Amino acid sequence: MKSQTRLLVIGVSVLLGFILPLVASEYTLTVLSLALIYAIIATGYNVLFGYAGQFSFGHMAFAGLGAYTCSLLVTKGGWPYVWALLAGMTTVSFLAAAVGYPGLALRGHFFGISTLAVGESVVLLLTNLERLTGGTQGLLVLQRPRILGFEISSPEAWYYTVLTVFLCVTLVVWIVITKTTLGKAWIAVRGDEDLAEALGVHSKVAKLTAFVVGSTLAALGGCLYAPFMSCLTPEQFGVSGTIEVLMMVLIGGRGTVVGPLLGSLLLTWVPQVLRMGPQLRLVTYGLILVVVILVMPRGVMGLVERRREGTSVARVS
Amino acid sequence: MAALLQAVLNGLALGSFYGLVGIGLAVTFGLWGILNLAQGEFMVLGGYLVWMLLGTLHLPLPFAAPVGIVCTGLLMALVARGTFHFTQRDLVNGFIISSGLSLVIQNGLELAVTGAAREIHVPSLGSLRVFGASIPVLRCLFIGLSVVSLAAALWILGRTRIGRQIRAAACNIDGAKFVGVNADRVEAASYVFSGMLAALAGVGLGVLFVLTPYLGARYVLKGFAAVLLGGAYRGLGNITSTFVAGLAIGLVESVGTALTAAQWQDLFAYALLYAGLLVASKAGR
Repeated sequence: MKSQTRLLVIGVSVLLGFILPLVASEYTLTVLSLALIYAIIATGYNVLFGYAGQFSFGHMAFAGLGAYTCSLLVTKGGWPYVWALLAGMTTVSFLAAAVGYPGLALRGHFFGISTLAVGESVVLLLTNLERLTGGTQGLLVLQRPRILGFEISSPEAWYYTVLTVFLCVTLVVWIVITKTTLGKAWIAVRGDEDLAEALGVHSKVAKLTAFVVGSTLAALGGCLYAPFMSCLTPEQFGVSGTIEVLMMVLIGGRGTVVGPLLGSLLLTWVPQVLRMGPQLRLVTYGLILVVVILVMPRGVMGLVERRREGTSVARVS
Repeated sequence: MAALLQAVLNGLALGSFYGLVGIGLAVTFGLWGILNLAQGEFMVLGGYLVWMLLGTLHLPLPFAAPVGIVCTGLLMALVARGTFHFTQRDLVNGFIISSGLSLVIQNGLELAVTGAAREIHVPSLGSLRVFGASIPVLRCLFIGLSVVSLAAALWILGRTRIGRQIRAAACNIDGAKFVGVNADRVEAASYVFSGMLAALAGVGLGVLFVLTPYLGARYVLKGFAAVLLGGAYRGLGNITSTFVAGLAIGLVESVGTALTAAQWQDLFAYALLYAGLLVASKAGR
């Protein structure tokens, strides 16, 4: 019964998602599209952090590298958008492998913490290689992307594109997590690295694949973000940006399929609703964050699961 | 030669900030598993408190600085009792809470005192001339003061009753409770301690440079790097190695910048962190 209810809930939400543009305003659709782009990036972080249990402080840096690669190929190289997007993702996956590989010698949380250096260095490079990236002035991406011959420019078109990509990403991640050995290896490493090794899980492979997959998804989000915002600046891809994504995953519920979406919807929406001057807004935002973590330490999905089980959160999720 | 000497001294001063922030982080991390991102904000807050005591009550600095520093420590303990107390040993949730706190303090400060840069005015005390390099006395004083604080911290941890209790709690909290250590008191003491070190750095910041509400993040990242780099060799939470690592980061940044260009300052710090972690892991720690 449980899986049937779940399927029904998912089906209805997806349907609602697709008919939403009929009733919602353009402003709402734009905010929602942004939230969905963040949800893709957050899903990547969820793979790395929620499932494989590894920190990364360079997640947004990889999103930024993807975004910049893609935009430069489109604006300066004249590439078609879809090819540039694929190139951006490929570049980032190789970079993530190259950066992650030496870090694998580090155990436990040190692996992720070593990416602190990566995260900030990328921002420095993006800021200071001005001739290529435009530096703090930003990089303008005014070309409208064409996907399968359609130009993506109206809020509806953006919304549908981003929604479709998000659903595909979520579906693939869900299949990998529930059906494949790789997904199980990730979860095993999160539980206990030594124990997983003892049971025959190759923990280094699991960590590296989670890092590469997570970072590549971040790059995908970044590649969508670039033409959507039509301007890129380096600072949003720093450690503070990564912390924002980490919060989306946490508030939504780490290690759950729907968590990243809930978190990114909340964290994109709440600042829009709390329109009260930037400082007061951020103070409120910080307070909400503290309260949320104290009251529901496993995120919104944790709350849902606890209610469903009717017990305390004994489950390791 | 003169330029190099200048760079080394500036590096030591910068490193003292990282070291002080790092010790504060190392204490709460070692004891309670709390990575306090708001440490940098408490540093800035401490600086502003002293600035306000000087500006509004016109207290002399030798009086205002200790009062401001102690108040910051108490405030931090109070805040920690309401927040970090509930996320002990929960690395991730503690970290998130601290980033929430850092948003609140940063923007609260901006609302309260605006974003304008503030200075804590003191007599400049002139400069020493050594091998053609001009070395401000205040900067030397600050470096000296942070080394003294390190010594004081070591003395408190090593020789006093509360220090022994803190070390016992760091080894094994349940065992410590079992032999009669009051865990809540140890917790309060450790946060007061951590907050005071942060505030000392904040006062130094106001005296040597300027204060703005958003300065904390830079320093906390470097302090954090110092904890890791120091911890890679002597175990996380070791305050001496954390302080030395902080000095090293400051030195590498400052000398590296003197050799290249100012915009690459942070790159040197992070390269050092990454290299240090790798070397430590190869050494099997």
